[in-house]
Amino acid sequence: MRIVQILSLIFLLTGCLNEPDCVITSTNLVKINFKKDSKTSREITFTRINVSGLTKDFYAQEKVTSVQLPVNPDETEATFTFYFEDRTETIQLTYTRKSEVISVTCGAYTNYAGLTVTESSFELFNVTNTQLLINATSNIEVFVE
Amino acid sequence: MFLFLGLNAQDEKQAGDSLKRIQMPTGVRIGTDLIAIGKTIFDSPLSGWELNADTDFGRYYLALDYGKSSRKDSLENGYYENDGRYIRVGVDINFLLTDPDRNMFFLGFRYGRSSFSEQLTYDFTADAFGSGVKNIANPNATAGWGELTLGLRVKVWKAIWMGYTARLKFLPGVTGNPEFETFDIPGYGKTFKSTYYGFNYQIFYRIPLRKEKQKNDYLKSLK
Repeated sequence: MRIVQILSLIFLLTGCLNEPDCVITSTNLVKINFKKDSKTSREITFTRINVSGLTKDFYAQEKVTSVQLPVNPDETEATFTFYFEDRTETIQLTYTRKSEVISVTCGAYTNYAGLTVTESSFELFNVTNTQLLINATSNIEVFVE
Repeated sequence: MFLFLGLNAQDEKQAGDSLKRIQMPTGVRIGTDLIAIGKTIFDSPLSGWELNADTDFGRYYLALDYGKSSRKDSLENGYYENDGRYIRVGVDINFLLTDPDRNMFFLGFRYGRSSFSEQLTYDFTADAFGSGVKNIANPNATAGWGELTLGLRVKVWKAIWMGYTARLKFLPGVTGNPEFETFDIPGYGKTFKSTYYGFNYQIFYRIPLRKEKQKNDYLKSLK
Protein backbone atom coordinates (compact mmCIF):
# COMPACT_ATOMS: atom_id res chain seq x y z
CA MET A 1 0.00 0.00 0.00
CA ARG A 2 3.04 2.27 0.10
CA ILE A 3 2.54 3.04 -3.60
CA VAL A 4 -1.00 4.24 -2.77
CA GLN A 5 0.34 6.61 -0.12
CA ILE A 6 3.01 7.98 -2.46
CA LEU A 7 0.62 8.52 -5.36
CA SER A 8 -1.96 10.12 -3.06
CA LEU A 9 0.70 12.57 -1.93
CA ILE A 10 1.64 13.34 -5.56
CA PHE A 11 -2.03 14.12 -6.25
CA LEU A 12 -2.24 16.49 -3.31
CA LEU A 13 1.02 18.28 -4.00
CA THR A 14 0.88 18.68 -7.76
CA GLY A 15 -2.81 19.31 -8.22
CA CYS A 16 -2.81 22.95 -7.16
CA LEU A 17 -3.96 25.14 -10.02
CA ASN A 18 -2.81 28.74 -10.21
CA GLU A 19 -3.89 31.18 -12.85
CA PRO A 20 -0.95 32.47 -14.88
CA ASP A 21 0.42 35.96 -14.29
CA CYS A 22 -1.07 38.83 -16.32
CA VAL A 23 2.30 39.85 -17.70
CA ILE A 24 2.50 40.24 -21.45
CA THR A 25 6.09 40.57 -22.59
CA SER A 26 5.41 40.09 -26.29
CA THR A 27 5.75 43.00 -28.72
CA ASN A 28 5.67 43.54 -32.48
CA LEU A 29 8.95 45.49 -32.34
CA VAL A 30 12.18 44.04 -33.68
CA LYS A 31 15.25 45.38 -31.90
CA ILE A 32 18.29 45.79 -34.16
CA ASN A 33 21.68 46.70 -32.69
CA PHE A 34 24.37 48.14 -34.94
CA LYS A 35 27.91 47.06 -34.20
CA LYS A 36 31.42 47.81 -35.40
CA ASP A 37 32.57 44.50 -34.03
CA SER A 38 31.27 42.06 -31.47
CA LYS A 39 32.08 44.38 -28.57
CA THR A 40 31.68 47.89 -29.99
CA SER A 41 28.46 49.62 -30.96
CA ARG A 42 28.25 51.56 -34.22
CA GLU A 43 26.59 54.94 -34.09
CA ILE A 44 24.60 55.78 -37.22
CA THR A 45 22.73 58.90 -38.21
CA PHE A 46 19.85 57.67 -40.32
CA THR A 47 18.31 59.77 -43.04
CA ARG A 48 15.27 57.58 -42.49
CA ILE A 49 14.16 53.97 -42.12
CA ASN A 50 11.18 52.58 -43.98
CA VAL A 51 9.05 49.65 -42.81
CA SER A 52 7.00 47.64 -45.32
CA GLY A 53 3.29 48.37 -45.02
CA LEU A 54 3.81 51.81 -43.47
CA THR A 55 4.32 55.20 -45.10
CA LYS A 56 5.79 56.77 -41.96
CA ASP A 57 9.56 57.34 -41.73
CA PHE A 58 11.34 56.01 -38.67
CA TYR A 59 14.43 57.47 -37.00
CA ALA A 60 14.63 60.34 -39.51
CA GLN A 61 17.82 62.35 -38.83
CA GLU A 62 18.44 60.47 -35.61
CA LYS A 63 21.83 59.31 -34.36
CA VAL A 64 21.44 55.90 -32.71
CA THR A 65 23.22 52.61 -32.07
CA SER A 66 20.02 50.55 -32.03
CA VAL A 67 16.52 50.77 -33.45
CA GLN A 68 13.18 49.16 -32.71
CA LEU A 69 11.08 48.64 -35.82
CA PRO A 70 7.52 47.30 -35.98
CA VAL A 71 6.30 44.25 -37.89
CA ASN A 72 2.80 43.97 -39.26
CA PRO A 73 0.46 41.90 -37.03
CA ASP A 74 -1.47 40.82 -40.16
CA GLU A 75 1.59 39.53 -42.04
CA THR A 76 4.42 37.08 -41.44
CA GLU A 77 7.13 38.94 -43.30
CA ALA A 78 8.60 42.43 -43.24
CA THR A 79 11.19 44.48 -45.06
CA PHE A 80 13.18 47.25 -43.41
CA THR A 81 14.98 49.75 -45.65
CA PHE A 82 17.75 51.80 -44.05
CA TYR A 83 18.89 55.09 -45.61
CA PHE A 84 22.12 56.39 -44.07
CA GLU A 85 25.52 57.77 -45.08
CA ASP A 86 24.54 57.75 -48.80
CA ARG A 87 23.76 54.03 -48.52
CA THR A 88 20.55 52.10 -48.87
CA GLU A 89 20.44 48.72 -47.16
CA THR A 90 17.58 46.30 -46.68
CA ILE A 91 16.73 43.45 -44.37
CA GLN A 92 13.89 41.02 -45.12
CA LEU A 93 12.45 39.08 -42.23
CA THR A 94 9.94 36.34 -41.64
CA TYR A 95 8.31 35.61 -38.30
CA THR A 96 5.50 33.54 -36.83
CA ARG A 97 2.48 34.79 -34.93
CA LYS A 98 0.58 32.88 -32.32
CA SER A 99 -2.63 33.99 -30.65
CA GLU A 100 -2.71 33.04 -26.99
CA VAL A 101 -5.26 33.39 -24.21
CA ILE A 102 -3.52 33.96 -20.87
CA SER A 103 -6.67 33.77 -18.77
CA VAL A 104 -10.19 35.16 -18.70
CA THR A 105 -9.10 38.17 -16.62
CA CYS A 106 -5.86 38.82 -18.52
CA GLY A 107 -7.27 38.32 -22.02
CA ALA A 108 -5.57 37.33 -25.27
CA TYR A 109 -2.55 38.61 -27.13
CA THR A 110 -0.33 37.85 -30.12
CA ASN A 111 3.06 36.28 -29.56
CA TYR A 112 5.70 36.93 -32.23
CA ALA A 113 8.51 34.43 -32.60
CA GLY A 114 10.50 32.43 -35.15
CA LEU A 115 12.33 35.52 -36.41
CA THR A 116 14.48 34.72 -39.45
CA VAL A 117 16.44 36.97 -41.79
CA THR A 118 15.61 35.75 -45.29
CA GLU A 119 17.60 38.34 -47.17
CA SER A 120 19.95 41.14 -46.22
CA SER A 121 22.14 43.61 -48.08
CA PHE A 122 24.22 43.92 -44.92
CA GLU A 123 27.04 41.46 -45.29
CA LEU A 124 27.30 40.54 -41.63
CA PHE A 125 24.40 40.04 -39.29
CA ASN A 126 23.41 37.76 -36.48
CA VAL A 127 19.95 36.81 -35.17
CA THR A 128 20.40 36.85 -31.39
CA ASN A 129 16.82 36.29 -30.23
CA THR A 130 14.05 34.86 -32.39
CA GLN A 131 11.27 35.95 -30.05
CA LEU A 132 10.02 39.54 -30.01
CA LEU A 133 9.96 40.60 -26.38
CA ILE A 134 9.60 43.96 -24.65
CA ASN A 135 12.70 43.38 -22.55
CA ALA A 136 14.87 41.83 -25.28
CA THR A 137 18.28 43.48 -25.46
CA SER A 138 18.57 42.57 -29.12
CA ASN A 139 16.91 40.51 -31.85
CA ILE A 140 19.40 41.13 -34.60
CA GLU A 141 22.96 42.42 -34.56
CA VAL A 142 24.08 44.11 -37.78
CA PHE A 143 27.77 44.76 -38.36
CA VAL A 144 28.44 48.02 -40.21
CA GLU A 145 31.87 49.31 -41.18
CA MET B 1 -12.27 -17.15 18.96
CA PHE B 2 -8.73 -16.11 18.05
CA LEU B 3 -8.48 -19.35 16.06
CA PHE B 4 -11.75 -18.44 14.23
CA LEU B 5 -10.52 -14.92 13.45
CA GLY B 6 -7.25 -16.36 12.21
CA LEU B 7 -9.10 -18.74 9.87
CA ASN B 8 -11.27 -15.87 8.58
CA ALA B 9 -8.19 -13.79 7.87
CA GLN B 10 -6.73 -16.79 6.04
CA ASP B 11 -9.93 -17.10 3.94
CA GLU B 12 -9.89 -13.39 3.11
CA LYS B 13 -6.26 -13.61 2.10
CA GLN B 14 -7.01 -16.56 -0.20
CA ALA B 15 -9.98 -14.74 -1.78
CA GLY B 16 -7.87 -11.59 -2.16
CA ASP B 17 -5.07 -13.58 -3.73
CA SER B 18 -7.51 -15.12 -6.23
CA LEU B 19 -8.76 -11.64 -7.21
CA LYS B 20 -5.21 -10.50 -7.84
CA ARG B 21 -5.22 -12.79 -10.87
CA ILE B 22 -6.75 -11.58 -14.13
CA GLN B 23 -10.22 -13.15 -14.42
CA MET B 24 -13.15 -13.05 -16.80
CA PRO B 25 -15.36 -9.99 -16.20
CA THR B 26 -18.37 -10.41 -13.94
CA GLY B 27 -20.13 -7.18 -14.83
CA VAL B 28 -20.09 -3.78 -16.50
CA ARG B 29 -20.67 -0.53 -14.65
CA ILE B 30 -22.05 2.31 -16.71
CA GLY B 31 -22.23 5.78 -15.27
CA THR B 32 -22.03 9.49 -15.73
CA ASP B 33 -20.26 12.46 -14.22
CA LEU B 34 -22.60 14.53 -12.03
CA ILE B 35 -20.22 17.50 -11.92
CA ALA B 36 -20.34 17.89 -15.72
CA ILE B 37 -24.14 17.87 -15.58
CA GLY B 38 -24.11 20.39 -12.70
CA LYS B 39 -21.83 22.75 -14.60
CA THR B 40 -24.13 22.59 -17.63
CA ILE B 41 -27.25 23.28 -15.54
CA PHE B 42 -25.78 26.10 -13.47
CA ASP B 43 -24.54 28.13 -16.42
CA SER B 44 -20.84 27.64 -15.93
CA PRO B 45 -18.52 28.61 -18.80
CA LEU B 46 -18.19 24.86 -19.25
CA SER B 47 -21.00 22.62 -20.45
CA GLY B 48 -21.08 19.01 -21.48
CA TRP B 49 -21.59 15.46 -20.38
CA GLU B 50 -19.47 12.41 -19.76
CA LEU B 51 -20.23 8.69 -19.81
CA ASN B 52 -18.08 6.29 -17.84
CA ALA B 53 -17.84 2.54 -17.99
CA ASP B 54 -15.66 -0.08 -16.37
CA THR B 55 -15.50 -3.83 -16.25
CA ASP B 56 -13.59 -6.06 -13.87
CA PHE B 57 -10.81 -8.49 -14.67
CA GLY B 58 -10.12 -9.58 -11.12
CA ARG B 59 -8.58 -6.62 -9.34
CA TYR B 60 -7.98 -4.85 -12.67
CA TYR B 61 -10.73 -2.75 -14.22
CA LEU B 62 -10.74 -1.71 -17.84
CA ALA B 63 -12.09 1.85 -17.80
CA LEU B 64 -13.53 3.88 -20.65
CA ASP B 65 -14.76 7.47 -20.58
CA TYR B 66 -16.45 9.31 -23.43
CA GLY B 67 -17.60 12.88 -23.24
CA LYS B 68 -18.50 16.14 -24.87
CA SER B 69 -17.40 19.49 -23.56
CA SER B 70 -17.65 23.10 -24.63
CA ARG B 71 -16.39 26.30 -23.07
CA LYS B 72 -17.58 29.87 -23.63
CA ASP B 73 -15.53 32.60 -21.98
CA SER B 74 -15.78 36.37 -22.16
CA LEU B 75 -12.21 37.58 -21.90
CA GLU B 76 -10.88 40.92 -20.74
CA ASN B 77 -10.35 41.90 -24.40
CA GLY B 78 -12.41 39.39 -26.36
CA TYR B 79 -14.21 36.09 -26.50
CA TYR B 80 -13.12 32.45 -26.58
CA GLU B 81 -15.13 29.32 -27.27
CA ASN B 82 -14.42 25.68 -27.95
CA ASP B 83 -16.38 22.53 -28.56
CA GLY B 84 -15.25 18.94 -28.79
CA ARG B 85 -15.45 15.31 -27.83
CA TYR B 86 -13.00 13.17 -25.97
CA ILE B 87 -12.30 9.60 -25.02
CA ARG B 88 -10.14 8.15 -22.27
CA VAL B 89 -9.14 4.55 -21.94
CA GLY B 90 -7.08 2.90 -19.22
CA VAL B 91 -6.87 0.52 -16.31
CA ASP B 92 -7.74 0.91 -12.62
CA ILE B 93 -6.23 -1.31 -9.96
CA ASN B 94 -8.53 -2.09 -7.04
CA PHE B 95 -6.97 -2.17 -3.59
CA LEU B 96 -10.11 -3.38 -1.75
CA LEU B 97 -9.89 -6.96 -2.90
CA THR B 98 -12.28 -8.67 -0.50
CA ASP B 99 -15.08 -6.16 -0.21
CA PRO B 100 -18.38 -8.07 -0.63
CA ASP B 101 -20.14 -5.00 -2.15
CA ARG B 102 -17.47 -4.47 -4.77
CA ASN B 103 -16.57 -1.15 -3.23
CA MET B 104 -13.33 0.08 -4.69
CA PHE B 105 -10.40 2.20 -3.78
CA PHE B 106 -8.34 2.38 -6.89
CA LEU B 107 -5.34 3.82 -8.63
CA GLY B 108 -5.04 3.79 -12.36
CA PHE B 109 -3.98 5.47 -15.51
CA ARG B 110 -5.68 6.70 -18.66
CA TYR B 111 -4.71 7.84 -22.12
CA GLY B 112 -6.98 10.61 -23.39
CA ARG B 113 -7.68 11.84 -26.92
CA SER B 114 -9.78 14.80 -27.91
CA SER B 115 -10.90 16.26 -31.21
CA PHE B 116 -12.23 19.76 -31.01
CA SER B 117 -12.58 23.19 -32.54
CA GLU B 118 -11.89 26.55 -30.94
CA GLN B 119 -12.37 30.19 -31.87
CA LEU B 120 -10.89 33.36 -30.50
CA THR B 121 -11.77 37.01 -31.10
CA TYR B 122 -9.78 39.73 -29.38
CA ASP B 123 -8.82 43.38 -29.57
CA PHE B 124 -5.16 44.09 -30.09
CA THR B 125 -2.86 47.07 -30.34
CA ALA B 126 0.36 46.86 -32.34
CA ASP B 127 3.06 49.51 -32.34
CA ALA B 128 2.82 51.76 -35.42
CA PHE B 129 0.15 49.54 -37.03
CA GLY B 130 -2.55 50.64 -34.59
CA SER B 131 -5.36 48.64 -33.07
CA GLY B 132 -7.72 46.09 -34.52
CA VAL B 133 -9.78 42.99 -33.91
CA LYS B 134 -8.29 39.60 -34.54
CA ASN B 135 -10.44 36.57 -35.38
CA ILE B 136 -8.72 33.23 -35.42
CA ALA B 137 -9.97 29.65 -35.43
CA ASN B 138 -8.52 26.22 -34.81
CA PRO B 139 -11.20 24.13 -36.53
CA ASN B 140 -9.71 20.62 -36.64
CA ALA B 141 -7.55 20.34 -33.56
CA THR B 142 -6.65 17.07 -31.87
CA ALA B 143 -4.94 16.46 -28.56
CA GLY B 144 -3.63 13.63 -26.46
CA TRP B 145 -2.56 13.37 -22.83
CA GLY B 146 -1.94 10.97 -19.97
CA GLU B 147 -3.65 10.70 -16.58
CA LEU B 148 -3.03 9.14 -13.21
CA THR B 149 -6.33 8.36 -11.50
CA LEU B 150 -7.28 7.80 -7.90
CA GLY B 151 -10.77 7.22 -6.59
CA LEU B 152 -13.50 5.44 -4.75
CA ARG B 153 -16.63 3.50 -5.77
CA VAL B 154 -19.16 2.76 -3.05
CA LYS B 155 -22.32 0.70 -3.46
CA VAL B 156 -25.24 2.84 -2.34
CA TRP B 157 -28.26 0.74 -3.34
CA LYS B 158 -28.79 -2.54 -5.23
CA ALA B 159 -26.97 -2.05 -8.52
CA ILE B 160 -26.09 1.61 -7.93
CA TRP B 161 -22.57 2.73 -7.08
CA MET B 162 -21.34 6.27 -6.48
CA GLY B 163 -17.87 7.61 -6.14
CA TYR B 164 -15.25 9.99 -7.34
CA THR B 165 -12.29 9.94 -9.65
CA ALA B 166 -9.47 12.41 -9.11
CA ARG B 167 -7.26 12.86 -12.13
CA LEU B 168 -3.75 14.14 -12.44
CA LYS B 169 -3.51 14.99 -16.12
CA PHE B 170 -0.18 15.55 -17.78
CA LEU B 171 1.77 15.93 -21.03
CA PRO B 172 -0.89 17.53 -23.22
CA GLY B 173 0.06 17.58 -26.88
CA VAL B 174 -2.00 19.47 -29.46
CA THR B 175 -1.95 19.45 -33.24
CA GLY B 176 -3.87 22.08 -35.16
CA ASN B 177 -3.51 25.65 -36.38
CA PRO B 178 0.11 26.64 -35.58
CA GLU B 179 -1.00 30.26 -35.15
CA PHE B 180 -3.40 29.34 -32.33
CA GLU B 181 -2.16 28.37 -28.87
CA THR B 182 -4.89 26.10 -27.53
CA PHE B 183 -6.42 27.50 -24.33
CA ASP B 184 -8.62 24.61 -23.27
CA ILE B 185 -8.70 20.99 -24.45
CA PRO B 186 -12.09 19.29 -23.96
CA GLY B 187 -11.52 16.45 -21.50
CA TYR B 188 -8.17 17.83 -20.36
CA GLY B 189 -8.70 21.45 -19.37
CA LYS B 190 -6.55 24.55 -19.64
CA THR B 191 -3.19 23.99 -21.22
CA PHE B 192 -1.13 26.69 -19.50
CA LYS B 193 0.11 24.14 -16.98
CA SER B 194 1.80 20.93 -17.99
CA THR B 195 -0.10 19.12 -15.24
CA TYR B 196 -3.77 19.70 -14.51
CA TYR B 197 -6.09 18.43 -11.83
CA GLY B 198 -9.53 17.02 -12.67
CA PHE B 199 -12.33 15.67 -10.52
CA ASN B 200 -15.43 13.65 -11.36
CA TYR B 201 -18.25 12.72 -9.01
CA GLN B 202 -19.93 9.78 -10.62
CA ILE B 203 -22.97 7.54 -10.37
CA PHE B 204 -22.89 4.02 -11.86
CA TYR B 205 -25.34 1.25 -12.65
CA ARG B 206 -23.84 -2.25 -12.70
CA ILE B 207 -25.00 -4.83 -15.20
CA PRO B 208 -23.93 -8.35 -14.12
CA LEU B 209 -22.47 -10.52 -16.88
CA ARG B 210 -22.08 -13.80 -14.99
CA LYS B 211 -22.48 -15.33 -11.57
CA GLU B 212 -19.52 -14.99 -9.30
CA LYS B 213 -19.59 -18.53 -7.96
CA GLN B 214 -16.23 -18.55 -6.28
CA LYS B 215 -16.76 -15.20 -4.61
CA ASN B 216 -20.32 -16.01 -3.54
CA ASP B 217 -19.16 -19.27 -1.94
CA TYR B 218 -16.47 -17.36 -0.14
CA LEU B 219 -18.91 -14.71 1.09
CA LYS B 220 -21.31 -17.39 2.32
CA SER B 221 -18.50 -19.07 4.19
CA LEU B 222 -17.81 -15.82 6.02
CA LYS B 223 -21.40 -15.57 7.34
